[in-house]
Amino acid sequence: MKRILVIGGTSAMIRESLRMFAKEGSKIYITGRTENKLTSIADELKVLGADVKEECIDLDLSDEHLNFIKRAAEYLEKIDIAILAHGINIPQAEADSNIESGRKMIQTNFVSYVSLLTLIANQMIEQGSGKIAAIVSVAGDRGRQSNFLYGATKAALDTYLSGLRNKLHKYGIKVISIKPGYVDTPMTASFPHNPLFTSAKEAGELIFKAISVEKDIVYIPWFWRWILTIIKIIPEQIFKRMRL
Amino acid sequence: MSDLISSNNPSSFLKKFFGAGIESFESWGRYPKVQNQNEFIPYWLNEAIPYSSPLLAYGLGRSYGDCCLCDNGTIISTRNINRLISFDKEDGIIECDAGISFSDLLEFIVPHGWFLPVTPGTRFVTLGGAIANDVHGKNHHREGTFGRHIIELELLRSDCKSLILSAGNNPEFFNATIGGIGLTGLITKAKIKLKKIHSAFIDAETIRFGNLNDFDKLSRESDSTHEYTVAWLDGSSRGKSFGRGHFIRGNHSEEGALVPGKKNPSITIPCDFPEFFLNRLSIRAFNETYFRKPLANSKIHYSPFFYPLDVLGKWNRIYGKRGFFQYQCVIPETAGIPAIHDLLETGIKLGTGSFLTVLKHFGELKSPGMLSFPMKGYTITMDFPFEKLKSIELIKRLDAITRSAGGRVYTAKDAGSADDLYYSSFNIEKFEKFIDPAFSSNLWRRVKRSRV
Ligand SMILES: Cc1cc2nc3c(=O)[nH]c(=O)nc-3n(C[C@H](O)[C@H](O)[C@H](O)COP(=O)(O)OP(=O)(O)OC[C@H]3O[C@@H](n4cnc5c(N)ncnc54)[C@H](O)[C@@H]3O)c2cc1C
Ligand SMILES: NC(=O)c1ccc[n+]([C@@H]2O[C@H](COP(=O)([O-])OP(=O)(O)OC[C@H]3O[C@@H](n4cnc5c(N)ncnc54)[C@H](OP(=O)(O)O)[C@@H]3O)[C@@H](O)[C@H]2O)c1
Repeated sequence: MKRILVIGGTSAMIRESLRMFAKEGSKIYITGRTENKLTSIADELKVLGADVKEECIDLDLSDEHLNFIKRAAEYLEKIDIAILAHGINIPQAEADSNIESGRKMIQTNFVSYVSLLTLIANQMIEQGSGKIAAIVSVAGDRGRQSNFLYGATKAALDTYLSGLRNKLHKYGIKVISIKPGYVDTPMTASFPHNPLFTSAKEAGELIFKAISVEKDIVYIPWFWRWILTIIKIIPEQIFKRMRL
Repeated sequence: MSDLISSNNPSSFLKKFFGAGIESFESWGRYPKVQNQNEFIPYWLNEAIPYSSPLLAYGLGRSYGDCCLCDNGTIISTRNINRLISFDKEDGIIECDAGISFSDLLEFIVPHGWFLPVTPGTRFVTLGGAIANDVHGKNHHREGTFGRHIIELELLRSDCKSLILSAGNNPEFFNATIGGIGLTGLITKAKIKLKKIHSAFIDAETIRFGNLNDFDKLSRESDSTHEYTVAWLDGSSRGKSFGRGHFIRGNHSEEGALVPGKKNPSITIPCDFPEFFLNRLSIRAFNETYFRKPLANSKIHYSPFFYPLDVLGKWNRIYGKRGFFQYQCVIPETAGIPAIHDLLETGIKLGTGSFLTVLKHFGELKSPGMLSFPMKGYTITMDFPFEKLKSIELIKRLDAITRSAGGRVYTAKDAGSADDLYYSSFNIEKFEKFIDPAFSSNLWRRVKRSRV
C-alpha cells in the first residue's frame, strides 16, 4: 500500500493520476481549496478503493503549512509519495496591469511550494525514504512575451527542484519534476485548443507512470521535450523578435 | 501557458494533415457537418454556461448522424463529468456521473464480477449517451434496451432545477428522457443495475450461413440457448452469394479470470484516407475476404466479442473527409425477412454496397422510453461512404421500404432519413411536452421541419 500526500488534489490532471493510485488501494491524504470539488473527488477515490482523508486549505496561507503537514504525516504514518500540483495562471496582460495579481501568482506557484517542499523534505529525511513529484511546466523552460511571469514562477520552481533533487539524492529520496505541455483542464479552458493539447486523462495517466518509474524530469507527453529543445536553441538575438 | 506557439504555427500545419485536434465535436459519420457550434467543456457542474442556447449534451460523439450536433448553438461536452459515485458490490448497483464511458465503467466493475446489462458495439460511449439513445445490444432478445436497467437518473433542466426521475418518481418524465435524444435536459447522473458474471470471457461460436432464411432459422434456434446473438452479413455480394454471412452467438463463460480489456485502441488511424480508398470494388473485396476467413469457436475475452472495432482508433477516417453514414432500421416481425431482403438488395444495387452490415433479431421486451427505437422484429445496419446526391437517393429508397413495412429508423444512426418516419413511429406530441425549451439538436429541427 502506498501512502500518498496530495497537495492541490482538485487539479483536473492530478485527479486522473489519483484515480489510478486509488485503484491500487492506496492511502491518500488529499487537500484542495474548494470544498465541494474536494469532497466529490475524495468520495470517488473511496469508491475506487482508497483509504482517504481530505482537508480543505488555502495554500496561500503559509502559516498553516507546518500544522497541515503534521496532520498529514500523522494520518499517513509515513509519506511514501508527496504530489504537489496546485497552481494558477494569471494572463500576462493582467499581471502587467495589476502587480498584486502577479504577486499572488508568485505566492501560489512558488513561495508556497518552497515552504511545503521544505517541510516535506525534512519529514522524508527523517523517514529515510520518499518520493516527491511536483508539477512544473514547459512554460518555465524559456520566457515568452505571452506568459513570462507564469513561466518565471515555474522556472524558479524548476531550479528549486533541481537543487532539492541534488540534496536529497544521498538520502535515497527521489524528486520528480513533471513538465506538462498543453493539457485540457479548467486552467486552459479559455485557450483555443490546438492538436498539441493532451486530455487531462492522458496527462494524469502519464504522470502516474512517471511517478512509478521515478524519472528525474519528465515531459507530458514526451514530444514536448523536443519542442522545447528547439525553442531553447533559438539564439536570443532572433528569439526576442519572435511573436511567441 | 497561453499561446506557446502563436497563430500561424505548426498546429495549423498539423491540423491540415491530421484533421481537427482532440477538439472535434462532430458525429461519428462526419456527415452531416455541423456549422457555427460553440463548445463548452465543464469539469464541474456548477460552472455557468458562457454561451447561448440552444444547448445540447454531447457524450463521446459515437452517434453517426446529427442527433449529437447543434448548429448555431452550444454543445455541453460531458466527458469530464465522469465520477463513480457509489457502488454496491453485493447487489451490483452502481451510480455514476453521466459522462463516464462504458470503457472506464467496465474497467472498474469487471474485476468485481459485474458486467453491463446491455452494451452497444463500442465501449467508447458515455452513460448519458447510452440512455439518451436507449441503446441495445446483442442480448436484446433477453434483456431489452439499456433503459430497462436504469433505476434512477438525475436530470438538470435549463431553469436550474434538478429532477430525480425513476419508474416510481415522475415516470412520464423518466420515460421521455430514456431515448429522449438529449432533448429533455442534461442527464447528470444515473444509477444502474449490473449483470453478474463469473468470468470476463464469452463462450462464443460463429457459424457460416448461405442466405437470409438460414439466418432466420439459426437466430430463432439460438434465442433460447444464447444470451448474445447477432449476424454479420456480406453487404455487397449479389446472385448466389446474396444474403450470406456469419452468425455469432455466445454466453458468459463460467470459467476464466475477471480481467478488464485493454484501455486504449491498439492502433489509431492517423489521418483521413483518400476518398477512393473505399469504393464498390474494395468494399466487395473486403466482404468476400471476411466471409471466407477461418472461423474459430472458442472462449474469447469480452473485448473482441463485443467491441471488435474498438481496436482501431478513429476508424471513421478510412472513409475520408466526405464522411459516411449508417442506415439502421427495424422491420416488424410481420414484414420480416422479405423487407430485409429488399433493404440489402437496394444497398447493393444503388450504393457502393455496404462495408459493414449487421443483422439482429430483436425480442419483445418493451422499453420504458417514449422514443425508444427497438421493437420485435429484425434490425439491419449498413455503412456507406457519403456520395452526395447518390446517397440522398439511397436513403430515400431505403426509407420507402422501412415505411411500407411499418418500421422505424434509429436516432443514433440517422443522418437524414425522411423525418415523417418519426411522426409515424412515435407519439411525438406527447414527447414534446417534456422537451427543455433551451435544448435542441439538428436531428430535432429536421423532425420539426417536416411538420411546417
Ligand atoms: C462502432 C459503433 C458501434 C455501435 N453499436 C451500437 C449498438 O450495437 N447498439 C446501439 O444501440 N448503438 C450502437 N452504436 C451507437 C451508440 O451506442 C450511440 O450513438 C450512443 O448514443 C453514443 O453515445 P455517446 O456517449 O457517444 O453520445 P453522443 O453520440 O455524443 O450523443 C448521443 C445523444 O445522446 C445525448 N446525450 C449524451 N449525453 C447526454 C447527457 N448527459 N444528457 C442528455 N443527453 C445526452 C446527445 O445529446 C445525443 O442526442 C454504435 C456506435 C458505434 C460508433
Ligand atoms: N493545464 C495545462 O496546460 C498545464 C500545463 C503545464 C503545467 N500545468 C500545471 O499543472 C498544475 C495543475 O493544473 P491543472 O491544469 O490541472 O488546472 P486546475 O484543474 O485548475 O488545477 C489547479 C489547482 O490548483 C488549486 N489551487 C490554486 N491556487 C490554490 C491555493 N492558493 N490553495 C490551494 N489550492 C490552490 C486549484 O484549486 P481550486 O479548484 O480551488 O481553484 C486547482 O485545484 C498547475 O500547477 C499548473 O500550473 C498546467
